Amino acid sequence: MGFIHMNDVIITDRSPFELELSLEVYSLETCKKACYALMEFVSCKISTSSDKLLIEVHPTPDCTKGEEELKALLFDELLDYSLRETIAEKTDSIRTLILSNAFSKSKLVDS
Amino acid sequence: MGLSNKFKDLESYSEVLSDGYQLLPFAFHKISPDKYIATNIVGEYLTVSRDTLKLLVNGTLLPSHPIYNDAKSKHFIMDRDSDTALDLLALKYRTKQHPISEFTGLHIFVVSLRCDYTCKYCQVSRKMEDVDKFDMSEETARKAVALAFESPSKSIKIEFQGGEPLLNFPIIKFIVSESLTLNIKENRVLQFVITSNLTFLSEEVLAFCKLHNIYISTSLDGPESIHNKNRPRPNKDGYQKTIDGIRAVQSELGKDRIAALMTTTSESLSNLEGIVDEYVQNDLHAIFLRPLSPYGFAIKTKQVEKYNVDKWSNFFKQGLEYIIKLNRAGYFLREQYTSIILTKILTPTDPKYVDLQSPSGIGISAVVYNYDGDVYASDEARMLKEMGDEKFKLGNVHTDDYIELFSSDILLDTLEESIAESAPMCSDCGLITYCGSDPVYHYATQGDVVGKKPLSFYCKKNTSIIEHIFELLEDPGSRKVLESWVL
Repeated sequence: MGFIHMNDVIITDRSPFELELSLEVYSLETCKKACYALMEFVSCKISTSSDKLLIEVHPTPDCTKGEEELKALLFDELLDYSLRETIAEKTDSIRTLILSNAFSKSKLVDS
Repeated sequence: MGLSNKFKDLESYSEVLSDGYQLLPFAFHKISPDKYIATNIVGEYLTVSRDTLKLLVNGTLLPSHPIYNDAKSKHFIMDRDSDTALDLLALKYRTKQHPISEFTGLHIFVVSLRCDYTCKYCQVSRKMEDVDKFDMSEETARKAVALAFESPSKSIKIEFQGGEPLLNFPIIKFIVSESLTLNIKENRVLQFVITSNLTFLSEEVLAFCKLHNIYISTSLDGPESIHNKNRPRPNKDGYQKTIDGIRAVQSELGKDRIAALMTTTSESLSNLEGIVDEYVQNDLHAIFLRPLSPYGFAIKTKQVEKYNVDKWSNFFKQGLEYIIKLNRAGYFLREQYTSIILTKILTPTDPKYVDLQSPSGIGISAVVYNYDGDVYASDEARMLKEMGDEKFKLGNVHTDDYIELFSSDILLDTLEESIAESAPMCSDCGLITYCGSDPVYHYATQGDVVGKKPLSFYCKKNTSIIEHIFELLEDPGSRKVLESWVL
């Protein structure tokens, strides 16, 4: 995918492209969330095979971003969502503890 | 006890380092490639670089790091010294969530659908007929007031809307009287607001408002040319009547008894300073910069298509900059939407603004009793009905009781789906504690109450505004002004 210059008019080539990722680095959940966050620009088909994640990226009809820019956006989102996943894993039990403590005197929590 | 006993020796700090810290739940939002806002469940925030964020999450942030103590005091981490961190966090969270248990505080009474204006962005299908067909009856009003007092809320605010509510002033008087009678026994904090274009503001109305301490809310879209273009009256005198009304209220009831808000049309975009100046010239100290809502005539006249979220956000940011400049020059003027968000950022309380709550405030913070007795989950739900869609109609005061209305499937199902903490993208968003959900808006624009947030005007608008507020908070001069706007 790239830019085609025609008489000073820049037309974005909206061909689909693929990204192959390792499931050891990014979870399927992280991958789904990153693709969802970018739905304004791309539609994604996600598949897995053994230890690989394959994302088929289709730029939307209104997308004006090039392939490299879209890849950069996608990698940024992947990193952010994997960090979020780490936080969620590390704080899962303590989150439950805080919420049950917060509502311990209400009738919302079973004793 | 000697002074030396009040301080720990250096070794104890080394122990903290070797023990490390426990990460507490938080989310983050990217402002720019190397600037992130990390926020926790009670709305505390930290501004960090991407590298610092990684250190924090990976458990390798050293106590000597400049943000370590901040992260600790704001409950992003706890170490062996944080004895009370979890209790404090739970207490703050409970305070933040307390408004939900209060249930419905705002009760909107649409006392007439008639109106003397023909606003091109009107969100309701106004009726021009001079008949009682579109006015609320005493029987309907009595039942609606009784329902309002069935709410467990300690505070009951009754807001009169239209059409133009003063076209049915007798029913306003009736509702106030009924409410006051009921409140002798109920003893709630009872407030009244009339949302009016002020055309029919008579001496009788003013005297009644003074007697019952009634607050007035009106619309002022800017200078005469914009106001009259946006809000036409047959005699083209809407602006003058509004200004006369504002002055009469200020003079008779007091300057703090009236507030105005504006609606942004495409004409407003290039007249920002003139619009704000109009508020200053009329001694108004609050302004609400609002985009158009996608309902009623705003859709029919294609007004909502005339600007996109980027144009509106730029307008809002420029407006905020100008308003802050006026404040710094000595004129206090608060932008209302910013105030609501600032209160969420800088205090542990929540102002209960219907469109910025999770779960949504529909039905549980505000409810609408229409002129014909139909009950709607929000003002926007009523607007949707005027477009022929009764999706968010909860029932009718004549046929349904309180339990039937407030435990209706449509309300409970929508509330469940409106919990942002379980909505795609919102659940991971670092701005979630300052934002909320708007199921009626997303249903109206996307046909789905949850909505696809990457494509949502609501999400883009709030993200843009909240990011901008964080930028402004970093500037000491702006911060001082913004802190004075907290509710």
